[in-house]
Amino acid sequence: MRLEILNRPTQSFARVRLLPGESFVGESGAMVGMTTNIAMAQESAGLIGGLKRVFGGETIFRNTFAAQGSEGEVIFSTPLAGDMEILDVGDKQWCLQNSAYVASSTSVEVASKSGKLKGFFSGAGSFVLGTRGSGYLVLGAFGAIEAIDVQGGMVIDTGHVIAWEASLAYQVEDNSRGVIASWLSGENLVCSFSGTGRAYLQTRNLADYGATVGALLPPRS
Amino acid sequence: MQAVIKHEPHFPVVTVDLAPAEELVADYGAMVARSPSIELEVRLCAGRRPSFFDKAKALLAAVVRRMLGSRGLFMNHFSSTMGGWVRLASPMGGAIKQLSLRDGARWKVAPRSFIAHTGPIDLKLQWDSLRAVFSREGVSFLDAAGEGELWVAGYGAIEEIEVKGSYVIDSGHLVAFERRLAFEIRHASGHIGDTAIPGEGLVLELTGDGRALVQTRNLGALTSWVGRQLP
Repeated sequence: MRLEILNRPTQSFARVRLLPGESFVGESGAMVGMTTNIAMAQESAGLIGGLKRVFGGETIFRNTFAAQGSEGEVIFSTPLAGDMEILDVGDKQWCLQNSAYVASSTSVEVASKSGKLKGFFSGAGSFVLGTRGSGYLVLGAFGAIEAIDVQGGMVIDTGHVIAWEASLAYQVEDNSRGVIASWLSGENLVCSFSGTGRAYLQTRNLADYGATVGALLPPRS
Repeated sequence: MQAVIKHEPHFPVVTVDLAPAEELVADYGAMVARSPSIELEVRLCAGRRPSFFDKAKALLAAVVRRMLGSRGLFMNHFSSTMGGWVRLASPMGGAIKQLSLRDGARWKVAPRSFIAHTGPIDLKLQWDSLRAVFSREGVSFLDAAGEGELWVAGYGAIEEIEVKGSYVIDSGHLVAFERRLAFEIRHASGHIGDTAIPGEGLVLELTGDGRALVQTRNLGALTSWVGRQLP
């Protein structure tokens, strides 16, 4: 299995080359193209697993891509312009925002972190997923990706953080103290990390972009 | 204070290093990340040492803007006793430009383009702008006066225009201009008339000698195009 990211950083897409018998999992809708010997199937998470995904804010279905008979390739991309990153899962486990998930090895389990309500980012409508197992994880960002090695502490806006090492402790909190008329300004949630480990941030913010453009759209007739 | 802009030209982010006790004032939603040593406080945009009248005016503008569905003009004040850094970007992800205000230089900045400033800069909405806020028509500006560094963001790239004599700029493309330029707002076709979208079709005629910054894309043009494509 070979993975590469092309057209970085603005119009990136991930190419996954699979040997016969190898397979890869992709977010519903992320597939751009593939060779004809790839069999695409809807990945079943089971009834309970499916319900967990619904409550975790994920798309219910992911697709499995399996190379049959000969070598094949699948290309994945994201809805908005930005960079992508391949993470090794195994020695390190990762937490990620569901909006950053693009694809992963079949040997990596990517599921919402159960029983961790503080992982829920209100406002951004986003949820935290966690990895288990070993293999690859492909992230997609809105904007450029910056890797930051946290030593001690770091504060990142919830709309800008895309993934972090599971070894980092984090807390979602309001960015500011002494808020004057908070209903006027709206909430401003950040992820406050502590410990040692790597975090990835994206330079653009989906929710901010959506709110800026959405507020100016003419009313639908 | 030191500032570095990275990820140009597509996704610029500015990182500002603050010395102990230095203060950075940034638009409420502009922060990407910060060092944990930084303290911050939200305040209304009412200028430095605002009078009661200035505060009331800023609050009124915030309430009206909120009722019209947009965010009030709130600023985050970042500072730290031990120093630290703040990373900032704009929602439209366009170019970021640093303006150095020296010797009493004054700029007018489109509120959407303002990201942050350091140093003793007085930043406030003007009365004629408040009228624009109320009527949801016309063009409003932040008036920036003083000494310090100021960052503005465009949608797309930012082009500097050296105005000599006079120049006409579409209001949706205007990022900022030097206050020593006189300006007049008018409809592209002559007079301010009824338009479906606030600010659409308005131009500024600048006269005098000075610099103006324009952005290569127009948010109003994007949203009206997208709106037409919606089912």
